[in-house]
Amino acid sequence: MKEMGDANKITGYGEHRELYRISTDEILYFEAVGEKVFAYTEQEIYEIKNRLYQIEEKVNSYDFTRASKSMLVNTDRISSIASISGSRGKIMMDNGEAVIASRMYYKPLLSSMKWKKIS
Amino acid sequence: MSKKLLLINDMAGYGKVALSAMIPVLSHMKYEVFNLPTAIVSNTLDYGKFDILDTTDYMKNAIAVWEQLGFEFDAISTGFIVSKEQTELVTEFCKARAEKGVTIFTDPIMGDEGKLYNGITEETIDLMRELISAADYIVPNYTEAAYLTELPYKEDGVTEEEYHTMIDKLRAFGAKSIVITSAKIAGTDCRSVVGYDHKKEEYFKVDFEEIPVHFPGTGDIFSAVFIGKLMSGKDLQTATAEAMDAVKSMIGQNADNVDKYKGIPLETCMEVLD
Repeated sequence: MKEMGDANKITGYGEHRELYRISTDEILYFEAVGEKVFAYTEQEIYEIKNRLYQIEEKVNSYDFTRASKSMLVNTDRISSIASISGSRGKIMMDNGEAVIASRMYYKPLLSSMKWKKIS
Repeated sequence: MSKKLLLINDMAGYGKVALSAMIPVLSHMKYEVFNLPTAIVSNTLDYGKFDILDTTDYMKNAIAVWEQLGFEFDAISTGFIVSKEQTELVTEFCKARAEKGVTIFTDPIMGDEGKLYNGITEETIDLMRELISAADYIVPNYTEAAYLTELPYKEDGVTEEEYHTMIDKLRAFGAKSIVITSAKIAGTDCRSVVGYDHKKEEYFKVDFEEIPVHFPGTGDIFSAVFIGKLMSGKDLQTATAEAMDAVKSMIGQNADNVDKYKGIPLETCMEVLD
């Protein structure tokens, strides 16, 4: 269930534990690394004190989708997608970074883009 | 006389998926095939880029004209539906036709691998439950069955009995016969199709070996062959098994194709359906 209130901002912590409210349009992707989850913007990395599935529930489901078990990408910030060997996908983000969509998530991610392109 | 089938699904310009796969298959199986596209897609998604046109307004107008012209069908099959508005439109259309005895097949396309496709909300799922209530046959995958029934999706699969419970819940919504595709049975390495035949009043299971070669559109080819076999009088389990075998043969024949993104070049392997 989505929380009431501002679904477009998420709380994150900087490297000196200072608190930020980050606009989800600035986030390229969320990545779970070990026990922690980080949000990556063009310039910064923030730690998010939630599990990836909780973040998934919080953010606008039209805009974020899983690329792999540990990655949640902002589909609005995708500039191109290319299929690569092993039924995987290479997702180019608009800042030039590449994210690999794993086999299990690539097809659902492409299918999701179908709905997204229409809306 | 040939049976008349109306296929409601998206139409791909390049590649054999959805309508562009189902039409040749069912035509070859000697059905009179009619179509109502829910969207027009430039090519299969596997190429990474595509363009898509939402045809909701066209659908509303086409249905209105068809009602005025009095077009009738023996069966209707539904697949990819773009929006809440389209789901309501298709549901209303199918419910009205079902009352006249038209056989309804629904593939409740909403997600895969435990996740919903983006754009599918609780509302969409509710509308899909309405649509399946009018269906004679539904072919959800395990993910879609889990979301429709609100039963948990387990990556390692569940027992055959648990699939039966899921099937019972789906039948409680109104769907008569159920085929859950890609059901993983817990504790085994096997992939199966688990279903319930409302005519024979029994559950069934067909095991299959997953082929490591991927082509888009194989699910749609399966649906088309499945519908064709059922409408020709085969029972549910036979129709399921024969449809699976047909897809397996087609994949086998094309396993060395260089461009797999365009799906299976159906024109070259229709004899598999004979």
